[in-house]
Amino acid sequence: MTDLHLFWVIQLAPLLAFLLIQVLPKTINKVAPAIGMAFSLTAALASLNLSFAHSQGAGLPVEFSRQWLVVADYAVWPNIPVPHYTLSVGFLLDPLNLLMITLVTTISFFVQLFSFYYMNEDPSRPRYFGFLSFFSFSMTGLVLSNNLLQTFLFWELVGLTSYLLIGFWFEKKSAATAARKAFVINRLADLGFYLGIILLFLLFGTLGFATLKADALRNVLGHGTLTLIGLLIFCGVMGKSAQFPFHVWLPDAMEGPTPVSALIHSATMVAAGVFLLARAFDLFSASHTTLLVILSIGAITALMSATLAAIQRDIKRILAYSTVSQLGLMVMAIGAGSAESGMFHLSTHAYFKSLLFLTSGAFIHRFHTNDIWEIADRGGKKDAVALGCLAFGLLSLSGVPPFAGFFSKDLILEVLKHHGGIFFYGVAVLVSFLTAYYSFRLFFVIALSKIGHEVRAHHESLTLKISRALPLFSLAALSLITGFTGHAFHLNMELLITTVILVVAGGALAYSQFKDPAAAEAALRGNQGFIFKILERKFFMDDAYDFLVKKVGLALGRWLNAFDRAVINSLMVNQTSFSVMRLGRVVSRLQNGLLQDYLAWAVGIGILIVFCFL
Amino acid sequence: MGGRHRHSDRFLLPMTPPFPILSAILLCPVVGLLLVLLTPRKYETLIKLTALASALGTLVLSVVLLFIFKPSVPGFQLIEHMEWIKSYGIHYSNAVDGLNVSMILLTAIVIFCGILVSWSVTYRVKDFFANMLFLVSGVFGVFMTTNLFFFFLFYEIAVIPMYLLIVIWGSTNKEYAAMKLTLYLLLGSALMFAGFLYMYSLPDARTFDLIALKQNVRFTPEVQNILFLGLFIGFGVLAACFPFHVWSPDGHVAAPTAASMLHAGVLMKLGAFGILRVGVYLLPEGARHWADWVAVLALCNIVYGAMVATQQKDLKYIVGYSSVSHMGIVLLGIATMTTVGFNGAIFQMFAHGIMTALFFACVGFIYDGCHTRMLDELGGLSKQAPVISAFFIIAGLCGLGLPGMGSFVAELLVTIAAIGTYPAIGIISIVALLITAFYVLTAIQKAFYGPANPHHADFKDLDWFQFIPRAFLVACLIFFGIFPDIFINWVSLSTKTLLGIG
Repeated sequence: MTDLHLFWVIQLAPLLAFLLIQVLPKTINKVAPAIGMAFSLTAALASLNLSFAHSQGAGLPVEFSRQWLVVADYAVWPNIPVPHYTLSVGFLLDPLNLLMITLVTTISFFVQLFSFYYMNEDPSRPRYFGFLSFFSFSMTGLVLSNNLLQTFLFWELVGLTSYLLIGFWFEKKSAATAARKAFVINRLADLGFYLGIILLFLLFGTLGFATLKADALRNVLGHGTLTLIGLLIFCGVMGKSAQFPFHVWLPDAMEGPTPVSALIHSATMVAAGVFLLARAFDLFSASHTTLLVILSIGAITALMSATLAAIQRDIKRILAYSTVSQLGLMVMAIGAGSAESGMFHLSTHAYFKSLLFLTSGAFIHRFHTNDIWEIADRGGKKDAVALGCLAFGLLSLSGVPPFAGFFSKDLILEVLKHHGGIFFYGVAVLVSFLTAYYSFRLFFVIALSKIGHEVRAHHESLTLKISRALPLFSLAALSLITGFTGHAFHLNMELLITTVILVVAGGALAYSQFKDPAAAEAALRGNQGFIFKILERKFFMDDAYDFLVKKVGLALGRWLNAFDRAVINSLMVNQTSFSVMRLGRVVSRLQNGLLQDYLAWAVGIGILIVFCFL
Repeated sequence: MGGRHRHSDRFLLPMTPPFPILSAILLCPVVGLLLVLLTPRKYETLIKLTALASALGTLVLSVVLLFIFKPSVPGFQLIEHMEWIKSYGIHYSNAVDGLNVSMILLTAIVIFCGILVSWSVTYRVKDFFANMLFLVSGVFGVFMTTNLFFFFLFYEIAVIPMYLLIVIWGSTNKEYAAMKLTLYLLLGSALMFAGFLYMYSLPDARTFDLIALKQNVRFTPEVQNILFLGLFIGFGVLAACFPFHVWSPDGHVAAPTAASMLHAGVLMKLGAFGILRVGVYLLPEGARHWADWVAVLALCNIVYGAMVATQQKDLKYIVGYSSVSHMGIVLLGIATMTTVGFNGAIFQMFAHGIMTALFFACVGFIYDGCHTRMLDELGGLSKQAPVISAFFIIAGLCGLGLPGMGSFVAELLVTIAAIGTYPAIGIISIVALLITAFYVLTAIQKAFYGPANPHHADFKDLDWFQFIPRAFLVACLIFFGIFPDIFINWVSLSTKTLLGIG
């Protein structure tokens, strides 16, 4: 098979699965999971085939492109030297998205497999697997796209599937609200993205990634314009990758089924922003101001959410804030000028974070609670498979050598140390320390608690057991070995020591606080400190959005609606028609049938006319 | 333009139709109307089938028309001309160009789906379908005629049945809404007709023929400015231009399902079409003169309509105000006076027509089943009736400009043109995307998500027959969202000619 065939297979297999599941008759919709898994396996195998065919980047990049829409054959802005505007569609494969496509398709497959276990009892399974397949379709489209507009198209589609899957259990008000919040906040961020694309298109004339090179951009556009466009497009990244101040949707997105959180809200979709930063890196790196803003936003996000992760009780929220924080680190790395290290952390993070989410799903499905103390109380530590995988994932997350997270985080620290300046390096070090702290905290609470009300596992069929354990073990293995695949790998002793010290310090602090989880919980309940309050209210970000929507946006809407009804409808329209009617009534009074009145009018008007003419 | 040549070569069939195809499209509903009138009242199914057959006839013929139509030929083509009152220059003459070929298709699609959706009508069936066919004959006539007298005549034919449809089969304050709508539209048409008569009275004119007017008459700048203003207000009323928009939500709400579909889907497009066909075509200088004001009003439509929509509690009012907002995009496209903007505006007319038809087809079905359209009284419908909910959600997603749907491309083109011409207005207009997302998703959440409302426990989902028209509309939206170049090919040469480029 040629590359183009493989692209089509990767792109269309999940779409086909989605369509098949839609037309499936109700009587045999039990096979929906099988369809989803079979087609996602096909896509995964096709992308593995691609990555073997192009191992070490041989023969790359490959591009297929065709015209999609002729916008204009003249320059829309008269003083811009672009002869015509044409939008195209196509595939572009380079080492960057080869990595990404393999990651997306393999994790998609593992998540579909795990979902078979997790959603086993849900009556809406066909809908679930349909949406999941549609997500894979949109995500592969995003990754393989060769230009910014096509990326935007699929960017919105992944946002849509995220909306549909967060609100999967839409009977729950919280789920429906969280879904809407995710979509609207992403839309807010995407306004910038959209505007940036249009400006770039108008001023630069093309949106193909292959043509967005720093020199070419600098030749055509001034520094200010480049910064503006870069920042506008970065807006979209901030939405999708949950960067401050648009990060608020991601923790709420945990309302969705847990495998969805693993796939969409940790490994692939939220990483799409970071991926875009790397994909169109020249667009951002062409201006130093843009890079500095990116670095700062990443730093704020990473630090802020690491502190929030440290106080959560809900296992999924801990992981969600941790995801935001790790994304912040990746953004920082790219802001410091190293797209490779950001992408490297993205790939290791994708494996170990999806492992962690699936593990949490395994806990939640068995113990029917998200609260880590309750999980522990119901016997979390007796679930050896899940506990082992949790340990694997957390070790990788906190950056213990030789787990994958260590290598990638190390690389980011190194980049920041050399290119980011002492301040941002310090932030990253602090974030690493906090990461180790909340990771160990999570582990100690589950592993060291006494079991109170033990919940025994139901008897599960062998298929279910496999579909539970196989993805966990595979991802655990991947989160161990992917660390060695980073090409620019070399061991830096100084950083190794720093990392180890950070992990040990974080772990020790967590141990000192949570060696007796029950006592720690009591202390936590009693904590009314000022800082704790701020953390509990999530730095008042949700309140700020609430204020903007309700007190500003909707209030304006109310005012305009009143204006529409009162001024335009009543005053202008109805009053006009009423006055016409009133006039009619007045005039009709003239025609009262009394001859003497007619005579009086005639004489009166006659006299008036005579006077006028005289 | 490589694309256009390739396209035209492929479809350069060695044929002109053996019969006047435009008149045939116009005659389909007229013949259907006559047959319906001749059928006795009690044969309801026969009446419905007759109406459906004539709608299907127009649909097939307008698809055939697309294949006969040559996008690479400038100016009008397939001209049909029959002299009627020669001394006054009143002729029955039809023609197509890029401007109306897609509008004819839109009308055919919407009437076809509208008749299928009205299958459940039980009250005065014969009168209902007769009115529908009468209305749509007028609409086809307006879109295809090149004579201003007939333009006005057909326009009036389209308005009157709408009054009856609302008053007899409508709901919610229907007498008021019907009267308001009719008065508004007649006011608009009065202004329009005054403009036509003034043109007729100009020296060298003495004709209502659009092409002859264009060729023979030199409109001085002052005349252009005044005439365009009058015509713009006249047509703007019909296109629901701010501040003449209030008839439209009230009318939508009161009208029965199929009438809402035609009303929002097609009737509002007549206004925007008139601005292009008559206003911009004959009075380009006047259009340029007023373009800034049009752009400001369009921006009001876009943002104001969306803001007011956030406050509505009735599903039909939400769709009604969203139409006001989306028609603003059409007006903004026109205001840019560029081919990109015009292409986008016409595409938006088409996409919005199909999208609102779908919206009303869904709301109407829900209203029939639940007897309410208030958001607070609905809830959880997705569980009970997943298919109709999915259709509404798809329409909503199209409305909020989701890529992959027709509206996205249309809005993209208009926004590109607007940012090129009026950067500030273009940038502010983007904000509507956020507001639209907010009110559409809020409506979806309230009506379809959340716990099911026990009042509507016996609400039945779509059957296969009612599935067809809605699925057809969705297919159109997605098809043109994925292959927009096909559509732009039809229109782009004509919009260029309209602006006197190339």
